[in-house]
Amino acid sequence: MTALIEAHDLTRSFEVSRGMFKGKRTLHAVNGISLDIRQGEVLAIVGESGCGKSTLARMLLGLLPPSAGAITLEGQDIRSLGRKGMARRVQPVFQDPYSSLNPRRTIASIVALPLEVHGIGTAAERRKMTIEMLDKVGLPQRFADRYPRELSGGQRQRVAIARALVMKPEVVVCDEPTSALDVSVQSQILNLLMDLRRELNLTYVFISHNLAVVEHIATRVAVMYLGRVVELAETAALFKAPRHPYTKALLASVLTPEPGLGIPDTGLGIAFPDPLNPPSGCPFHPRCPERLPQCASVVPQILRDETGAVACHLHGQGPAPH
Amino acid sequence: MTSEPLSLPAAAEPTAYSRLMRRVLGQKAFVIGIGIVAAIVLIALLAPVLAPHDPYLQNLSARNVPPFWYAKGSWVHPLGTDQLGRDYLSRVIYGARISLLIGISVVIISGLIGTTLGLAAGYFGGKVDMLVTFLVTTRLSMPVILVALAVVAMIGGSLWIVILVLGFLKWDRFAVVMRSATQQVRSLDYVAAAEAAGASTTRIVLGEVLPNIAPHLIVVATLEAASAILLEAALSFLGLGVQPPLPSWGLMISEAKAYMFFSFWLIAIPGTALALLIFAINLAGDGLRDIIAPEGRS
Amino acid sequence: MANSSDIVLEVDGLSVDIRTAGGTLHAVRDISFSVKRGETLCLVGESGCGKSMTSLAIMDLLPKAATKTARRLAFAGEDLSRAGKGRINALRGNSMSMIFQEPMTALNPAYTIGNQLVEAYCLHKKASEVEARERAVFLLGKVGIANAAERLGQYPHQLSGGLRQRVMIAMALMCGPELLIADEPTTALDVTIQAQILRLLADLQRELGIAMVLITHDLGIVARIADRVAVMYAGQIVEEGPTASLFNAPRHPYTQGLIACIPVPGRTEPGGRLGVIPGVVPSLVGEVRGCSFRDRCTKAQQACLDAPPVRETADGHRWRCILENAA
Repeated sequence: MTALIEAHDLTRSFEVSRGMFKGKRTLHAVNGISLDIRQGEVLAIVGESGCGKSTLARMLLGLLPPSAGAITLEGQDIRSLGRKGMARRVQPVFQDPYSSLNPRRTIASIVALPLEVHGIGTAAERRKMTIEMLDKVGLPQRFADRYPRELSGGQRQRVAIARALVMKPEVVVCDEPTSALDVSVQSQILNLLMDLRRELNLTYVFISHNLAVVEHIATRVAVMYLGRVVELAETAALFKAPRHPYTKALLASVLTPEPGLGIPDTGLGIAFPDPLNPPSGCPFHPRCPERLPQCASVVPQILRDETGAVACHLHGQGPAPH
Repeated sequence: MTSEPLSLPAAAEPTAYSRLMRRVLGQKAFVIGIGIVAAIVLIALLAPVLAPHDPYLQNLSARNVPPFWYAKGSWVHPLGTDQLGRDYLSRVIYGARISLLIGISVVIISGLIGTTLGLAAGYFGGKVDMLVTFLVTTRLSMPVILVALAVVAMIGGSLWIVILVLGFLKWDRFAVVMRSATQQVRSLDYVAAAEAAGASTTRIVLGEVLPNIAPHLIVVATLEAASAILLEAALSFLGLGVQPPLPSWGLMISEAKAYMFFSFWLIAIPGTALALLIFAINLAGDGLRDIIAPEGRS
Repeated sequence: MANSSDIVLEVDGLSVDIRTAGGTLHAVRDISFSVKRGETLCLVGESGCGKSMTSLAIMDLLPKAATKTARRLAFAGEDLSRAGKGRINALRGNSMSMIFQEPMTALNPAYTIGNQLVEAYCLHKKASEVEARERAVFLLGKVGIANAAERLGQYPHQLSGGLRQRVMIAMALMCGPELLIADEPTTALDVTIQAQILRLLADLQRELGIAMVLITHDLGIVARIADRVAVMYAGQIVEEGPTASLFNAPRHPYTQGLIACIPVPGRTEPGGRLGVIPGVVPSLVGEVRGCSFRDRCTKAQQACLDAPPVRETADGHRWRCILENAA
């Protein structure tokens, strides 16, 4: 598989004001991520709140310029593609179907917006394409002239998917697309996303905190912690043999509906670190049940091998060079 | 599978229109306010038909005729005449035109300035926001009435000078409200989705942001219109606003102040008209705010 | 029910009606359940099924537009539906307490953690402030908060989401409640924190012998923490039973559908199709006749137009369906 999108040492920091006289601090939301997204895969980006996965998603969509590093699409820097050039190839689906649809537009007008922006077809042709797209995501034509408030959460998410796909993009960045939905609706949306991927030959970046969903839909998984990718592997390999202690803890926390197993002990400390004041060395070391003496002082190098990548002293190439 | 009698009515929300109507009619204050405003607008539009006399026609032999309910009053001049013998009812009716013209023109000018600044500040943030906030603070540090007095005193008073001066002074509330409303909408995902669709900034601001902050805009506009009408009356009363012989309610009060103790109606009638219009606009504006407030998720 | 004195909460025929512009919404329709000392009952269902309204009705915290009726709503043998406001206030926060989904809205941002922990204890137990602070420090330690004495002086915004939820749990335990109602206590938290908080809740509940009603939409949580489960749909309990029996042999088509919807690592085939429940939830405005699940049910028959019978097995597994086993 060839790399469609590549992120090179991507960093994004924000200035955070801490009150009037305290001055500003820098928050490194994304801290030196290098990643490739391959044609046709479903790459899941997994992590807890504050790990930087949504910031990464916004950068991949071209909505947020990186502070350092670059993103290339088939070798071309996305900054040179421009907003419209990016829009034809990469599209988003957001988490909250209540805030992702303009309440003052009809469903048809929401889905047709990208077509209008790019000046595709006449009004009648756009209407036809819109209706076809709505049909593809399982919404009958009678929904076309309704307003978002008349739809349920699942139906709204279908509209958001239709809007993302109407331009026939290659990559769809799904930011927690089912977290706001009920389980019975979640399964419908997941089925739909998988059908559409097969039918339209799409590549997904699937951002989620729900590992059960990730295991189901993803082909490769990147685990993020405090702005860095700590482990990257094929889904089956990651779930079978996680290498980073944080991945192990995440997997242990998945509560499958299997009675009698009780609630797992993740072995993590209770305190989630302050992202404004990240721990020295490996950012995970204060919570890590397997930490070594050097973890507190030395940032682990990323080890890339045939299974993927891992940033942990337990899997290092020995002491870092220098 | 399911046959017809098995189906249950699906959970559905009432249509937007029926919900809106229910909410509007539930607001008695709004209905009363908008009713009075509509009546005054109608009177102003139909002034040439409704006014019994020419509002500028002087008749020095019939000066200070009292309204019909006084013993000396007559139905020829239902609300009497003023110190120059002009029909008072006709002048009050034509006065509504002046007040509404002032209110609407000032709101259009200040609304355009304030909304543009507020949208820019809220949408772009950062340095633009800092600049707009600075402009608003500067503007707020200037007392409207004093600046207006100074300008009018320097370049002379007329209807259009008053409108321009007030229009260029009263944009601050528009800017403040539009800024915070825009900031809210800016952070919503549908704006990000439009950006990701490749839409230009102009298209996003006009197509996605503005329609969603328009309700706030309407509320501010009504309240600002009332305030502009009052300010015009105050300026005219001080002799620095609309100039005679135009029938402005503020000017009429000013002209009548010398006769206050002999012909009380000369002050009471335009005063009542002014108070009624301001009261009705405020009632409608407050009601509108309450109708708009619960908008959103149910 | 061998020993009726063990029953902490008994709900019989509880209904909650909400007045809306379109008519009366029957949010909870004639539900009955009971919870014993030391037992965890999970109320599970999707949004709008009435599970949160049920918890608010028990705590007498319903919004103004809602009214409740019940044949019997008894706490430790005392019928609350006949108790006055004063009596309920004396019980609430004292021997029955509640944990909410979003700790930030349940904690007052203007007071320190210490103030909020101590207040209810002093009020209900007529204890001195010193005693109350001692208990607060003890409980904060118990819920896994290090240097508890210092935390007492902090404000809610100074704590992370996980810590706040721990403080909420400590607060709920201050007066030594017999009944704890937890409404989606971990939904706002990250997965690793969620596991820790649930573990903590389960341990404390067992140790202190509290009766717990846990409300959630997450079947994973239910399977791991509940002794018994009640599945709610459209304001009714459609199936109720011991956890193992309910998950291993679900009887109601809705429960079966829900379980089939969830991807389970190692059990569902990656990339395969997940189960779906077709259709949408019915409107609960106006009278609802017959089985409320019938138009989404693949097994629906003409008989479903009448109220389905409640069936029961020997181990207390009950469900509302015309079929003995829909599978």
